[in-house]
Amino acid sequence: MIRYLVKRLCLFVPLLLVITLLSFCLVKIAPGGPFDSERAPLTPEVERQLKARYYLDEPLLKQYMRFLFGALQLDFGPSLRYRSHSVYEIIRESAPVSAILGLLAFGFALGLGLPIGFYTAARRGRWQDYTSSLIIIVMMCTPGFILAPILVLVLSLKLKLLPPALWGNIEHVVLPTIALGLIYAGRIARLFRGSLLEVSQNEFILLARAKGLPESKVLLRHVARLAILPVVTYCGPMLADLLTGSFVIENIFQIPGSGMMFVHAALNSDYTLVVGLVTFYAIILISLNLFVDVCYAVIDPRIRYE
Amino acid sequence: MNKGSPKLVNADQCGSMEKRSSLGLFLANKPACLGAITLAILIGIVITWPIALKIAPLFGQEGQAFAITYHPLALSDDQFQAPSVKHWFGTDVHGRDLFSRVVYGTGISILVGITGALISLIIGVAWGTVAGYAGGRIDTIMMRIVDVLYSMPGIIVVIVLVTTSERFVGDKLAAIIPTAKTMTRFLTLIIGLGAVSWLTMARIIRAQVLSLKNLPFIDAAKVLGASHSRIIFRHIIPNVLGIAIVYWTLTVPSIVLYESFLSYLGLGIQPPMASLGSLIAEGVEQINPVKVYWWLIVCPGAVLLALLVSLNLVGDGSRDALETKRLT
Repeated sequence: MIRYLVKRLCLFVPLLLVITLLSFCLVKIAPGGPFDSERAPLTPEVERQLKARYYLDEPLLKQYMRFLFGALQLDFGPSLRYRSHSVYEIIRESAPVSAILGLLAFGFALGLGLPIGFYTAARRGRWQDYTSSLIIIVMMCTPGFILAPILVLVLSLKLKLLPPALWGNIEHVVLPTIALGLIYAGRIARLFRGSLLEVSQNEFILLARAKGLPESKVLLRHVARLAILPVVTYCGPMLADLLTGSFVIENIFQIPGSGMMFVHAALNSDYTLVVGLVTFYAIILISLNLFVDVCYAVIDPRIRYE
Repeated sequence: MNKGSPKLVNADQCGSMEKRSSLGLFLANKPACLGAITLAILIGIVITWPIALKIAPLFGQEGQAFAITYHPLALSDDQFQAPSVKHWFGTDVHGRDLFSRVVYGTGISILVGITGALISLIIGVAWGTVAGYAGGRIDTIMMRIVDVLYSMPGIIVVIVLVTTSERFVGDKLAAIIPTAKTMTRFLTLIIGLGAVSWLTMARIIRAQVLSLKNLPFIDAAKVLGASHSRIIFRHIIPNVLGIAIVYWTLTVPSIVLYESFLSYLGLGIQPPMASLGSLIAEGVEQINPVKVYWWLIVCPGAVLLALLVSLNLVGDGSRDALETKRLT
């Protein structure tokens, strides 16, 4: 186990290097830069000085090395758009907002998805199963950018129950959480249902039934315990998606999270901010994957990593 | 050689029987059939509506008026009309008929989904076949690359790819064909989406090729002196194509979803072209506390939902049919 962990951690660094190098090269290859979309075109002299000021006139490799050394000290340079802020500051301010939203949606997805999945599996082949399966499919196909505006129209503009946008109070949280989490709740429900049905084919489940355990106990104690494994595996990528991929929801509800920052940065070709955020996202994603693999070994005693 | 030809006929018959049985399994699956019918209706409307608009002016005055009223880009003074008999989905901020715009948008979304998934199929099949067939160190390296790409944040890569390569590709394209400039966003979008969606396909195909290449008929082909490329193209790829196509049908809805997501953010299809995602985005822009224009969001949203649900049902149905057939 420890050896496996060390091996994975060793892979962490090269993986991060590849990702940063790729994103670094991509943003640099593109013509156009952070300075040339401003309203008044800059004189060549000013542009040259600006480039020199932010080391954009150096060879690519040197710029990349500069970025790497800075990144080691958590210094990703200044944002080229919002020049009074450093990239680190922007991430530090926006990431917690996205993290809260992501975690809430994560809880919502699990809290809604697991019971629905369990219910449909327990009622397999009856009408409740068919209707709920249809609901699950519709949930899986309802992206946040359809659900969010409809929720806003109905709940905030018609019924005036919840605020339509912004961030701060507890009532601001409800709509974005639902809009972000519903599609994942659908995926969890479906995954859990399939896995429950597959596990209940096992012989030890037959034994549990044969010795007279009530069905609810069989499902909860024996089937669900094993059937939760694929859900756990999926939790890693799901959490990563939720933490990093709430661009649209943040956009609709005007939430100052890192997703919104990233989209603006990509559109403005704000090199330093793009690369900084990609690095940040990559670290989250890789560590979550690692964490899930470790969790997997802890839950399922049959798995031993070498 | 004499024995060769009757065998060929036999193989063909087997193939058609297998096809029939998977088709039968698919048809027995009611949700999948429902999805296929919905999809067929959607595609039918997408194809016939533009044709109707094209040929309407040939039928005198009324036809001309019809073609003008329902042209997806024709501006009019009827802004923000609620759905009615004349405008089934209402009209938008510029008085354009929303039904017509939704039909064209659905067409674009389907086109992006199909071609993007096709690109992912080509890359995935090529990558998986080469890795599985070559084996050894080449296989290890190629699959490690897939592992690395798996841990890249996909949607972020697409955003970086689309925003950066657009200007690059656009300039190059405009130098060759001056009119192609408007198509660049469309092309980079398809290529970008295809380029991040092939990983699962490559893994599935590789696993298939690994089990295929040890079967006797491959050995037979080798003994007969077939070259590697002949074995790959004549024997391996035709055998993995069925699975590849099934996973292709599962890739299409995810690419449609990605595309509408990006178009929603303004990173996808650009005006005057519209996809379902950008239509919903236009509707969201019109949200205000004074007057509610619900149809601007609900109509394209409902069509996107129907499209995604039917695509998913068809994809699931074909996968189930294939898997059941292989188990029995």
